[in-house]
Amino acid sequence: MHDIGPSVDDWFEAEILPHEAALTHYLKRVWANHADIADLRQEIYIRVYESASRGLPDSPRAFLIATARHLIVDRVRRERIVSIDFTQDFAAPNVLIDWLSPERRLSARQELRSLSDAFDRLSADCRAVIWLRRVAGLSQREVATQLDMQEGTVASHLCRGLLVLTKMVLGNGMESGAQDDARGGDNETGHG
Amino acid sequence: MKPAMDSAAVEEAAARWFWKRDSGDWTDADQARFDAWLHGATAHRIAYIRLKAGWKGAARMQALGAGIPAGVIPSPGAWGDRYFPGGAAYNGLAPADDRGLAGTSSSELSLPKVLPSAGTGAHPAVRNWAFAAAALLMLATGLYIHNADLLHGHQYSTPIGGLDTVPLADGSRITLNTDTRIRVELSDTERRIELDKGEAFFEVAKDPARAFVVQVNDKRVTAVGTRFSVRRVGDGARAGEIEVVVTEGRVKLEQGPPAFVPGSKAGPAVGSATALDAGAVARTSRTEVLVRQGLAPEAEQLLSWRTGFLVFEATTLADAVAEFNRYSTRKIVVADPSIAALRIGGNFRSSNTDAFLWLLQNGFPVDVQYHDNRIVLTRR
Repeated sequence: MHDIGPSVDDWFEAEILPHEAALTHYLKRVWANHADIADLRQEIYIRVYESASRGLPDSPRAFLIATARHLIVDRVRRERIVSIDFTQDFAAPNVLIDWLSPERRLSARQELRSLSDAFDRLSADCRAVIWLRRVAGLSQREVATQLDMQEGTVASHLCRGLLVLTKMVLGNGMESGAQDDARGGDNETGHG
Repeated sequence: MKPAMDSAAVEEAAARWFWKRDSGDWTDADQARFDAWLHGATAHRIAYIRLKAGWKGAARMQALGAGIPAGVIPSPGAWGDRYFPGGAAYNGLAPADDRGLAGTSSSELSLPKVLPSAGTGAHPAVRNWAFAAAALLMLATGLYIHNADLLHGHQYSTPIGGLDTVPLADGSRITLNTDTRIRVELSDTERRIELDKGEAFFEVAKDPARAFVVQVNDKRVTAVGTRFSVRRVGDGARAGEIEVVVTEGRVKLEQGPPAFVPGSKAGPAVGSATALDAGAVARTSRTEVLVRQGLAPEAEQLLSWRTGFLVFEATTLADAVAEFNRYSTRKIVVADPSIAALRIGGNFRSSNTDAFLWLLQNGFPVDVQYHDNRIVLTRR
């Protein structure tokens, strides 16, 4: 495996992750099976990251777009079950470009609102744990003591909460509702 | 179809690492395992970067905490109209100036809940009762304990589809997978477990004076304080073969003529002895032992059954079906050899055969027919 240093990590966080909402929106429009989207996004990210670790692209945004399109084309060729919806604007990369424009981003106040909405939808225990760790700044151990929970329980609430909040933060507040379509069909479908 | 790496599973693993690192309980060994995981796949690294960015971004919530006393968790929606006038989240008409947020006085917030009742919604005693009831139920459905005669010690077993954990008097714990039976004898000189059938995971309490021995026919797996599993893999003429997975510490695998005298100290090794370190996966075959030395996280993955999950990575359909069949009396049959070699990947709840079959039907050229006592897979 090639050398992948912290600088690529930083670059990825600063230049690629801010486009996650737009990328997700694009994938939803061109790929009919929304259950695949988290996996597709992961694959696109892998390609972007590995390419960037050999040399950073000049325009991260354009590179992300190109990578996403290539991957979709590859998939269509490879899969027996073609779940892409050709009637949508698959061939129109400007969809992604539109969504990346600054006007489409939410204001800081709107972002906080959608974040607090997601936070409020967490289970009561999970919500309490996240509040104490993220807002009140308590350590995991202190959270466990204060809520009279096992540390392992605190950690699993933190895991759950972190996954939800990350989706919201990186989705730029736009994934609420529809995000469940995208993730609900993952391999473990949750009604086990 | 090449199985995509399951992003949800990767993300959950990343989250566990994130909080493990944050827990204050972090050893050099943890760091080594974490590095191995992080370098193991770009997907791991990306998932980790995403969660770090997400947690950083969630710091915006601190604006909501301004002025709220320590130890108080505001009720859901407490900030509603105060922070977000107008109520609409996405109206696109938010004032340009957001700086007023952090300075908002909290005195007008709706009344927050006070700990410790905050967040639980149930009185602790109620929760304890619920827990006790759940434990009883588990005991009733999953685990049968027999007080057998003294010679054979205690016997524990699980039915097909069962999963349970048995604490031993010495502080060790044994987790029994589906369709498993063990016998436990604790003496002053030895802790002896006989694995009659199935698979079990052992978390061994340290006790240098008393070896912990798992016996399957002529094979003995010996540990002092460590974590490992033993599974009986063969049947028929090969009924004595086992697979051993070590996740922590070191164990010794010996095979040779049975030297089983109940209650006695383990005799000297008659056959060959192999030392297995953390990460090792060993499989016996008659007199040979095949050892694959991997990394501990890999070994942990093989033991995902302890949490009720089956993890497949480029596993053939035939192998995946065999795994599921261990957990269900209604067996799945692969009727067409041409689909048996299909590779699949993903995490499944071992009890959720339906999700697995659904995926097969929808993602693979496989047709599923349900019969009374079996489920038949054919090529579509």
